[in-house]
Amino acid sequence: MEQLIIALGWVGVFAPVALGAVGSAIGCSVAGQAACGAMLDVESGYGKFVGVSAMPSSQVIYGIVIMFTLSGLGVTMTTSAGLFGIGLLTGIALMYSAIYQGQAVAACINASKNKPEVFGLSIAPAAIVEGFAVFAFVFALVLGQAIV
Amino acid sequence: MAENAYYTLLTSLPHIDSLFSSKITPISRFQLDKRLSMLNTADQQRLVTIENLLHWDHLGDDVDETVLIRQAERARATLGSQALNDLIDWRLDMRTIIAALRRKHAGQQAPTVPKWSYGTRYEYIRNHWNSPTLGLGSAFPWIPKVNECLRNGECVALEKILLQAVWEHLNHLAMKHHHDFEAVVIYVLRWNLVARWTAYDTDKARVRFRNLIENSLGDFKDQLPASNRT
Repeated sequence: MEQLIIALGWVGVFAPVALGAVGSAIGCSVAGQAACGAMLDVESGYGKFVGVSAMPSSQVIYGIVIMFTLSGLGVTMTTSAGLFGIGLLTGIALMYSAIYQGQAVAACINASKNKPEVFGLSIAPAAIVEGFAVFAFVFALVLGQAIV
Repeated sequence: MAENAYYTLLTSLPHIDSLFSSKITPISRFQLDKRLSMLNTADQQRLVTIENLLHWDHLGDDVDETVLIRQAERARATLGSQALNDLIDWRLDMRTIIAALRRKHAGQQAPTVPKWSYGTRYEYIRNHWNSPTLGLGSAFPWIPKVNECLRNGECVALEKILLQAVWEHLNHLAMKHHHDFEAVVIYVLRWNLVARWTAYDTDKARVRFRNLIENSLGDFKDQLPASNRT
């Protein structure tokens, strides 16, 4: 039983990176494919499409920071339950936010490809999704300090 | 092709603004086919099936309707998507309605054959033959306008009403499908509408009409007065 609880603690520590990486991979893939498609249809402005398609990569970076913070607390019988809860839920939040941010970025690329003047506005939904990922990131760090 | 790869294809296609104000198609058929080659083989086959089902350009003049109806049912069953089946049904129902209204306008009675057309409403239409809107006025609100055009012989207005109805239906569906195979099909069907509208040519139509008349008349053509031959 003790080993299982410790294992769950480690799952919680690594979940933000693993799930964040899955989300970022999917999100960047979706946005990147949209950018590639847009480049077939326009004659200029390729750089902004490629640049904006990297937006969903931030979630895995947040995951790495959370992992180092949580692992610094030490995985013991007393901390494992807290690490598992915070780490796993933060990982899920980061994963979904990256996936849906990728779709928001794809929509932004599609809209700004047809109407370049709306690029700034069309990126707003993706930026709002980023905000939710930041909430999960910041409060995971804050709450993590209460585990020990 | 992975499901998400529809993003590449759909963002590579230029936006189709409007139907009646278009002067040319936003992308040539050659370029469109090149882009559509991004689809995997199964999707390409499904797209060809749908286009063959909805466009009759490839059919000859002597088509056996019974065989055609059977082929359409078989093709529809292979699509494997409820949204696509609904779209196909709607378009085929539309064809059936137009056929029924034209027949009524020509003074014909309700068809005696139970399975006389495509779609899902042919039996209902047969049972409501005497209603001016075939009992479908609420589901297809353009039927009264079509009746009026048929009565007045306004062919161009009729064509515009039908194209507009299809365009609006496709626009409505496009709001529900953004990055999937259904979105690709909707784009191609919208492109086809624009291609059809922009290809209309009075001179070509006159030549085609004359050829059809000559083919129909056959040897009797020579018996016409000389002034009617040109």
